[in-house]
Amino acid sequence: MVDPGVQTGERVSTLYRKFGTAIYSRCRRLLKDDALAEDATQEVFVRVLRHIESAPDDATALAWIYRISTNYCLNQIRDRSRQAEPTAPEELPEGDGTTPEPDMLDRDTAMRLIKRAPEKLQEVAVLYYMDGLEQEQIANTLGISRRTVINRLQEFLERSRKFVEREGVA
Amino acid sequence: MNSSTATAHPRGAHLSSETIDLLLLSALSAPEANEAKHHIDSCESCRTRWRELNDDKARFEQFVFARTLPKVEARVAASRGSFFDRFKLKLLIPTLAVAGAAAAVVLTTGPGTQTEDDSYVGMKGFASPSFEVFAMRGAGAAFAVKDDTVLHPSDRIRFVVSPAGAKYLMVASTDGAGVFSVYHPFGAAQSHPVEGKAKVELPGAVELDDTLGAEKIVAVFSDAPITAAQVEAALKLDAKNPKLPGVSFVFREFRKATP
Repeated sequence: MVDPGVQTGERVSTLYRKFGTAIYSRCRRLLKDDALAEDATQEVFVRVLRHIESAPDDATALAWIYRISTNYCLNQIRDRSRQAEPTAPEELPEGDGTTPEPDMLDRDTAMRLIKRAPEKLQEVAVLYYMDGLEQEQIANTLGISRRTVINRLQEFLERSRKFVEREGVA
Repeated sequence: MNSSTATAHPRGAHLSSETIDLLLLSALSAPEANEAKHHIDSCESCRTRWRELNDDKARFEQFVFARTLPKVEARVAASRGSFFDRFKLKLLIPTLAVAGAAAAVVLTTGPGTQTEDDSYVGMKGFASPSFEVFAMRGAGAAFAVKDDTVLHPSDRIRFVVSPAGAKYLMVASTDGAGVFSVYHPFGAAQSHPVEGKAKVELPGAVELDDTLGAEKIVAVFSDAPITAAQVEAALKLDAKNPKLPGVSFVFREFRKATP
């Protein structure tokens, strides 16, 4: 008879090996710190495991991974920014002062604009601008309506435009 | 998200993270994988991301996995079986303080409005399927939704079901304006597989829009896939006691009002 504990351990190991890369890569990209990404990978995997186990396919499992890892990393970033001095505008890369089109921006700049956005807009902005998901996919991932996704993206864009106009940087 | 996403992002000519991750997992169909690989071959930006992802895979498998697996296993072992207890506890503590233990039990296990078709054979030998709705407002704690609960626009609701042997599930809603929507799988045209007899918390939360009035939510359990159109038609015909062969409907209702 197989020890159920062993069976569970093997399953966890298999799932961690399979989905760990997606979580780790995403956390590295958002946190930009290898050690923090390693810690975040463990934490996100534990949180997402039961969803992965019941997911009917890999795409659904990834949707959970995106959602939970985005939330976790944004919280980490917020916690860090509370402890650190805010980034001075001159530390941002210089632009021509025109309206930002985030699909034209590099990911670092997009992430800086996202960090400055209100919490409710950050998750949608990460999935759209960092991950390139479509509005419908974001709606499904977050369990909100497509209209809400569109509204939040518009609000994010508007705020980013105002920020760039005010600060003269992109 | 579905797996047929080996397409470029609508704003640009790049693959989405999902497509690239699914390609790495070998989870795309052959045509989708070919399309994605062809795109990567011809797009420097996506090729860079693909290379980065493969570098991360190598780093994860060589160093991170071995270093972190013991901690992960220990965390999982410690948390197994405790999530739902903690979830219930969070709900029960404030309720007990107000209404006493008996009321709390009704809150979490009450039958709601349930109809069962006699021809439904998939659940023979199992208890009836159940359906519970929980809501969260802002950053507050989750609370159970009863038939007289008043919710607000922007509240988020989640669902917990006991399939009791049913194979497929859809959660649908008819809002105060009479508009029919599918909440789980969100926006889907057909019910999705669900497994097990025990309680399952469904993935995702639904954020309520600003349509006010009574909203009726129904969990539709069946042994075979059923379409949203069939469910909508059955509800239109008889909103209180809809009938479809081999299907069990479990209702919850709440009122939506502005704060």
